[in-house]
Amino acid sequence: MLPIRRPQRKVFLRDRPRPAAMRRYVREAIDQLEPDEATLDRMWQAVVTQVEAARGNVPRRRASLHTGSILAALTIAALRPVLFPIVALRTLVGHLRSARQALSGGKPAARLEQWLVHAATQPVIGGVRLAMAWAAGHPRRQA
Amino acid sequence: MPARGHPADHYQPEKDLLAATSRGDHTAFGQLYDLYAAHIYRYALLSLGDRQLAEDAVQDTMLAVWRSAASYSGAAPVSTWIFGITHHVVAAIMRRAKGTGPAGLMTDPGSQDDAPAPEATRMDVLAALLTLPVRYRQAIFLVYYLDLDQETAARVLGVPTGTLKSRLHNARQRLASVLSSYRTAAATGPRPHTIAAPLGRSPKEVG
Repeated sequence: MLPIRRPQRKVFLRDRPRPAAMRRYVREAIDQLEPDEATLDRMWQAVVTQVEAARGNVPRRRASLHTGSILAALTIAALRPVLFPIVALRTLVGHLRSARQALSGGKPAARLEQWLVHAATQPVIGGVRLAMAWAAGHPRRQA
Repeated sequence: MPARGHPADHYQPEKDLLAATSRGDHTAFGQLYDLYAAHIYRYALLSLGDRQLAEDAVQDTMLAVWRSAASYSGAAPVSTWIFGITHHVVAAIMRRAKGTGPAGLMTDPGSQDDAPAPEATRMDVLAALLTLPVRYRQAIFLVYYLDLDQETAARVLGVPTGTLKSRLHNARQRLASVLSSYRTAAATGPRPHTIAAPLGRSPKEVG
């Protein structure tokens, strides 16, 4: 049985490392950043959603669910300080998850979630103002 | 994805896919996604150090490919064109993320002490890569991972070839220094498992 050749870290320590060896070790290292299939599928769904949205083909039902979830989340965020905080927070998290699913995950929902979490920490008036501003600016309202 | 040393017609299938994409062909676009998404993700993750931001970069890049497919001139390989877009997208995300603080790219916790030597070496090299400035990581990725020739890699990054060579040289020197310090540290105690991959660097870091 041949001995297993131990990778030579010292390849990087040479003044002029051999390119083939550099390639091999860099490739082995960066291959660890491989996205899994679920991530690739999720990104593809998000890309398709955005492509369809760019062509104006996003189903109205999806847009409606998105609107409802976000408005509900914003309302709860606005009222959170005067409601039962723990229950309201759980409901907020549930609505945020719905919003994420409505958008098939990905960038818009992630950013929206960050924004909403920020909104949830604002005083009542700030939260209501954010909710109204968002609702007024939404395409469905404009239509 | 074609690398260096291939004849010009080697790139034709990808050019055909891009041409079909420009005509609204979803299947061709899906094939391009299958060819490039993982590479774009790795490049973005190596640059940004955050998985969510790397996913953003893939989505933004592929959306830009869909929208701009018709503007592809055919002068450069498709890979050069797509990674040029990726580079700009990553730079834009870094500008947006500036001020949000560092993000940690978690390597596999607990595996270093028990892993056999090859795994430990891969971890070492990845950890060392993540300590480099973003511009060095990007140069290393394009030349040593994607196997692009230096002229093409320089074109992707939007810098002169001499600058790319300089970055590669400096990157190798820093890698040697970092790996050397790991070797010294390994003799005295365990290394940390999380490597801070700084976000929010100045745009010059990307350029």
